Amino acid sequence: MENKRIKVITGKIGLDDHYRGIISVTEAFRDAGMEVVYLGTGQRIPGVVNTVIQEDANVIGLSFLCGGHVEIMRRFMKTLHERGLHHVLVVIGGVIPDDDIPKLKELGVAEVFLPGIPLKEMVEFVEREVASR
Amino acid sequence: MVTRVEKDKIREAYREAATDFETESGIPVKSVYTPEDIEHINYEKDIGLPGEYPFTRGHHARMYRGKLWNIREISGCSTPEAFNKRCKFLLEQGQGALDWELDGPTLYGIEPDQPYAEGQLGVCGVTLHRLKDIEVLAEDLPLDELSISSDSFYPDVWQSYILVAKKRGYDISGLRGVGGAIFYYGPSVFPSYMEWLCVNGRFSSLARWGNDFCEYVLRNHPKWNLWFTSSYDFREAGGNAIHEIAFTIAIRNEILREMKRRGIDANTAVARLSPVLGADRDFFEETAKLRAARRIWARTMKEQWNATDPQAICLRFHVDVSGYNFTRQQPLVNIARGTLGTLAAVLGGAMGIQNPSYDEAWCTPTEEAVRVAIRTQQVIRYESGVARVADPLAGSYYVEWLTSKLEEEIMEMVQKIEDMGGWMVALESGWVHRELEKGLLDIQRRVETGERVAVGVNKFTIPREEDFKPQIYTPDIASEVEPYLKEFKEWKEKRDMRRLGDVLEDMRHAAERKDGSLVPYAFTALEAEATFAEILGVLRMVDGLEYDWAGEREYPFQS
Repeated sequence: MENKRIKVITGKIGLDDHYRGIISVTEAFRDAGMEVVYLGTGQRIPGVVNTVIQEDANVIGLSFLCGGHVEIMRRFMKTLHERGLHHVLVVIGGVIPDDDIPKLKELGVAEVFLPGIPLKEMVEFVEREVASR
Repeated sequence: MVTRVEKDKIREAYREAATDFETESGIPVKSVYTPEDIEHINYEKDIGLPGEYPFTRGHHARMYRGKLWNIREISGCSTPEAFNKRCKFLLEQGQGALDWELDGPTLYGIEPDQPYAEGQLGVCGVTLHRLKDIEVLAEDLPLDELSISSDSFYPDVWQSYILVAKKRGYDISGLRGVGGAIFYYGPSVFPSYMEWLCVNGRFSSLARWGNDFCEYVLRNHPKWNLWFTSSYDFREAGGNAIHEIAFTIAIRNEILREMKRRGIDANTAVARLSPVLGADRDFFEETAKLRAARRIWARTMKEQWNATDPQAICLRFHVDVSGYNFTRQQPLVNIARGTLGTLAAVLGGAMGIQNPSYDEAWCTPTEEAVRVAIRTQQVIRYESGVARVADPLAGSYYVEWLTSKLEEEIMEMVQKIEDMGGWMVALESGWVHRELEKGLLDIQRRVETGERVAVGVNKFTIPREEDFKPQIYTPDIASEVEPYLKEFKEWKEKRDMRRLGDVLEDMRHAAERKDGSLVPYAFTALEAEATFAEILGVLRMVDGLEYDWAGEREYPFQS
C-alpha cells in the first residue's frame, strides 16, 4: 500500500487467557509485512505502555473476552495519554457487547473488531489509519 | 430481499457436491467404507460389549437404560447470592447436576477490590473469594445429593465446600464433588499462569497443595471424582481430536505417577479420575474419538500400568460441546451446532453433557438462552429415540475404521510426549503451546480462504442490521456487584488479623518443609477467614514469586 513503517504491540490485559483471537491477528499483521511484538496474555498496563515507548510502536492491538474491556481501556488510554502517546493507533477486539462500542470509541479506541470479521479487513484498517496519521 | 434470480447460481446450487475429504484432524477419508477396511479389527478384542473391556462401546452394559447422561450446563455469573438463584433456575429446568464456573479474579486469585479485577467481577463466572461466599452459594442446595463440578484450579473452593457441608451436618464422605486436579492442564490454555503447575521444572507449591488435596480426596471421599482436564479447551486453543485425547492420556499418566509416589496404587487412583472431553464440529470423528478414548484409556491402564480392576480402568467422562464454533453472526444457527455436538456426544457414550447457549459469542448466557440449550438436550433425550440402544454406531465400517485410525494416531502422540519426559516437560518446553498455535493458525487460514466453511461467517452471510440480536446478560452492578464489594471490604476489616497472620504463617512454614499435607492448614486458614488470594499468595512466596499475581498487593503479615 504505502511505505509508512507499521510497528504493532499486541497482547491481552486482564484475567483471561483466551488467546485464539489475538494470536490469529498477530500472525495476520506479520503476514501483511508489519513488525509485531506479541507480549502474551496477562499483561499489566504500565508494561504494555513501556513497551510501546521502547519499541517506538505506532499501533496497539488488545483482545478481551471476559469483560473489563471498558474499565481496563479507560485506565490504559489514560496512561497512554499521560505518557504523551496520543499518536498511537489503538484497536481492540473480542467478545464485546455492541453497547460498549461507543463507550470504547469515546475513550479513544479507533476500532473494535468483533468475532468473525475477516483478518484482511483489520489489516486494511490499520494500514489506512496509520497512513492517514 | 431477492431482486433477481441468477440462472447460473441456481444451476450451481442445484448441482453442488461435497468437497471436503479430510476429517477436522486431517485424516483423509474415502467416499465409502467396506468390510475390507475393518479386516484388521477383531470384534472380541477391539470392540466387544458395552461395559466390558476394552470399553470401546461404553461404560455400562445397558448404557442410557441404566442412567441417562447428566445435563450439566457450564454456568457461573455474578455474585454468590445471584448465582445461587441461577443454580436453582437450572435445576428447575431439568438439570440433575451443577457446574460452577469461576470468574477471572477468582481463577487468578485476585481480590475483588483490586484494580486488576475491575470490570471482570462475575462476568465469565461467579466471583468467589472466601469460605463465606461458598456458604452463600450453596444455600438450600442438597449437598448430599447434588453432583457439583467446578473449574477451581485450587482446592480453595473445594475445601470451603467441604467445610460448609460439614457445618450443615452432612456426612462429608458422601459428597459428590467433581474437580480438584485441573491445575494439571490449566497452564496449557492459561499460559500466563504456569506456576499453577510448575516452577523451574518441578511442581510449584500451589500444585503441591493441589496434589495434597487429590490424595486427601482419594483417601477420604469415595464418591468424589477428580476432574483433571477439560480437553474441550485444547480444541478452543487450536488442537484437534488427536491432541485432545493424547494430552488427556499424558496428563493422566503424570497424575498417576505422582499418586503412586504418594503410595496410592494405579487401580485406586484411576477409578476416580474423570476428564471433560470435547465434541467439536466433525460429527463422526467426534463420536469415533470418544470411542477410541475409552479403548486407549483401558488398554494403556492394563498394559502400561498393570491395572487389574476392570471397572477402575473404564474411562468415565463428561463432554463439553465446543463453544468456539458458535458464531456471533446469525446466533440462532448455533442451536443447530449445539444439537449436532450433543448428538455426537450421546452416540459416543458421554455420561454428562454441556451444550453451549446460542449467545455464546455475545455474553454469559441469559436464562432464556441456557433454557434453549437444556431443551435441546431434552429433545435428544426424550424425542429422538437415540438413547434406546447402546453404541448404535458400532459395526459401521466407517466409524470402526475411524475409531481404530484415531487410536493409532493418538497413541503415536502419547508416545511422543512420554519420550519427551511426560506432560510437564512437554508443557514447560513450549511444545504443547506450539502445537496448539499451529492448529489455530491453520484453522484461521482456512476460514479466511473459505476452505473451512463457517455458515454465516464466510458463507451465507447477511447484513448486520438484518441479523438477530440476542438479549445481553451482564451482572447487575448496582444491585449485585457493588453491594458484594462493599460487604467484602467491611468484612475484611473486621477479621481477627493476629489469628489470621498466625495461621497463614503456619501454612507457609508447612509449605517450606516440603513434606506432609497442606490440606489441614488450608482448612484452618479458611476457618480463620483467610481469603483465597491470601492462601495462594503465601504459597506463591514459598516459590519466590510475587505475593500477588498482578503485583498490586503486598503480603500483609510478618515474613
